Amino acid sequence: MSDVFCPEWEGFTPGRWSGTSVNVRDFIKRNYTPYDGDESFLSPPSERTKKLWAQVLDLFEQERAKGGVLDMDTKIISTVTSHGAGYIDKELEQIVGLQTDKPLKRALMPFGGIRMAVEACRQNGYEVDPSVIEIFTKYRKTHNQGVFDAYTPEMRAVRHAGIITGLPDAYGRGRIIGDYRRVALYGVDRLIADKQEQIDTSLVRMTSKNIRLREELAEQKRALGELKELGKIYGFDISRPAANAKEAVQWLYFGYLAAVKEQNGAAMSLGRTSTFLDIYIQRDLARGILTEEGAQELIDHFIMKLRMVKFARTPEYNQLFSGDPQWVTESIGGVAIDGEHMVTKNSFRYLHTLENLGPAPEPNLTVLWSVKLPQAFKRYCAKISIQTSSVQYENDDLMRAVHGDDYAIACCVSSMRVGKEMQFFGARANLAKCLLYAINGGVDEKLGLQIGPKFRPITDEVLDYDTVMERYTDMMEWLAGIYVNTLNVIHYMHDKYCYERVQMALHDRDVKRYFATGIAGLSVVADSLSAIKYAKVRPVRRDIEIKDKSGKVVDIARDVVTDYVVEGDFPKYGNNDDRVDQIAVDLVRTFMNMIRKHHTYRDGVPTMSILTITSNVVYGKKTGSTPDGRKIGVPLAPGANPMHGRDSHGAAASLASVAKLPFRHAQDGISNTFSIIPDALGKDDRIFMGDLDIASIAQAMQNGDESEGISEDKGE
Amino acid sequence: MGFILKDDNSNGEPEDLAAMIDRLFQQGGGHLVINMDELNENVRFTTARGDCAEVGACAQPTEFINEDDENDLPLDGDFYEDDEYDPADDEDGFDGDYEDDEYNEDEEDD
Repeated sequence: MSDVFCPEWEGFTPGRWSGTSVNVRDFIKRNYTPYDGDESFLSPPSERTKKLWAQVLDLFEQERAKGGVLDMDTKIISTVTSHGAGYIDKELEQIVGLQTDKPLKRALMPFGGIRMAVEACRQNGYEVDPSVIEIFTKYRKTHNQGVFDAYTPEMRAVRHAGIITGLPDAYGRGRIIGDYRRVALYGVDRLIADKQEQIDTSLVRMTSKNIRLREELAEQKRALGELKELGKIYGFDISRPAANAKEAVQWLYFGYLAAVKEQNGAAMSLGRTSTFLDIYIQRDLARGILTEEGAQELIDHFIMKLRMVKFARTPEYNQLFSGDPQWVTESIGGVAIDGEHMVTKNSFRYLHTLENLGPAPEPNLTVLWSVKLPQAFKRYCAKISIQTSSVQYENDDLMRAVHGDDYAIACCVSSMRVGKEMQFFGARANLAKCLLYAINGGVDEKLGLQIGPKFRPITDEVLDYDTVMERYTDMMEWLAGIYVNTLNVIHYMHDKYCYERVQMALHDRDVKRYFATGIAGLSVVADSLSAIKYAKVRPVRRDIEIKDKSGKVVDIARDVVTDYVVEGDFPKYGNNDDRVDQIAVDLVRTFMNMIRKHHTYRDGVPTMSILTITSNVVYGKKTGSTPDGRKIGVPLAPGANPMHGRDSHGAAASLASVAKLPFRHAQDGISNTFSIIPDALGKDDRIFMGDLDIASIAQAMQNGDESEGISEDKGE
Repeated sequence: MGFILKDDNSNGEPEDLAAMIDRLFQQGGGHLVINMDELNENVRFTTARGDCAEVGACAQPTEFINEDDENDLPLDGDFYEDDEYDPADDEDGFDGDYEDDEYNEDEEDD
């Protein structure tokens, strides 16, 4: 690339970014304006915003009235350039672009799996055109077909039994954040030239690895050409850099729009755009060509578009996820590695959209929180949280040490450097079920089938800790192996048949890949092992009928442990008790080290997350009774959180337990869940952990009881 | 999850909430979601959650619609019975002798 300072960059401080390299971080660091003030500068919604938003709300209402889906494509296969221009109201929209040709019309995306696409349409009363089905059955293989061709019977079995769940083997894996800012900063032509340079300088020794990379780079370059075409469809020339704030927002949005026209990942996150866009806004404000009202209008219209992103999903997906979440996560604020905060006026404007347009879960606004953030911004974030309950927070001080100051969050907690790192999403392994397999010698406690390896079951009348741990360690080794190998199949096939061309075009050539794994049921296992160690656990055995699909009994599994009787007390996880907390720590470290032993696709760096709530409802359904006294079907505790009601020593103790979990072994995030009494703000000893019977308290209040909070016997 | 109930006429305390977030993160918390709900006009309750909001994308379910050949799963879980290596099945004619089998990184078919 030549060293040319484009006219569109007039007023920007040059640097490495304006030389021969694509370097958005350098551009930001040299040009952003930190803001320490408060929110008083913010502007209410413009008249155009109010009118446009009213139309969008009406569309949402129509969608709800139609059962959740307004319209679906059944014939046009969604690509970057598959549809003509679509508008809500061309006269009002300042930022344009829809996934299809009509607002809220859901695209047809069969590359992940044709059956999924057909089922998603059928459940909403639409039928995919037979020609499309024929293409993706006879002529074009899908990611899903590839995966199931490669799955071993064992992989299918563990998937079926639910000891591994949420595998991205039927649709887009998500967790990739294209650096959409590059489109605005450089224009597509320069990115194409940079991509060609990447091709020209890539290795020419034709190993399978290098062949694959060259092909992918070629696809990325092609995708950039299509991105330029997308701009033309809407009447814009995005071959050149953005010249002003409006173009910057528009160009950036086109990059994201191309991604969501091509991929339907469960998380299609936006990145870290607010501080970047503020640079353009500040320049326009200084030039007098933009007002604060105009700046807020651009952001409001941009956010409006992000709120309208929709995908066609199956009933199973919709049962779990209400409200059409897309995890369009935007990461706001944070601190640079030189210690200077990165809050700008645009950080405020993004949050202000929750006031101008009302609360909404999308985009998923995430504040990269640090103690070093300006106090006025922290206060504003808290105020918005109180008003809208629509903000999540990430510990920037923790993340910055790993990823630097230009990372963003994919979904909720998966952090990655924008344009330089990506994640292979890896669902979850059920460690609680694995413990039951260890006790039952690999026999599934619900199905009666031999799913795990044929180890000797434990036949003791009272479970012995050392014996159980020995078998459990062996069973975890097996689980780690089958889990990683299953993910290897999935990500190989996704790259092969459902490659994220646009998103990866907006990455460097040599990308660091995280191989994200996850575990569920950590606290259940810790408590179970604690019960075995410190109390007395008697397994209850029974025979299980094994039935075929028609319900006919074809076999009987004898003496399967399906329940447990616990006698005596035992220390429970979440009370800052090392006797059980250390068990949890050892489990995370042990399982993670087992995962690390295995080959990962494209040398992905294994990470682990110990997260989520509802996946633990799903896991709970698949998991039989456990030695801690939890009964079959009861949801597992979310992530690292102690089982409901077991944490009896307050938030500080619970946090202390969770804080012991080694972050180095769980870099994709550790979660805890707790509750705050508002009048306890400032008083740590009044933070309550655990469950309240909200219904009975509400009833008591309606009956006129004077209740100011929790009753003493429920908490602090 | 833990919902807290209290009488609150002050419409929240942003300064104190910000200080609370500071403290929680300094104590090792990594991720937080704040929710406020109103039960009645005098009562608000606050939840702070350390997980992925209500439902994270990582909770996406397994799609079982593709298991139409589920019947092929051996009902007795016999994945392992015949899983013994037989050199006669080796198309490359491996005779069990590792002597010349040097690892070549370039042949790694990832």
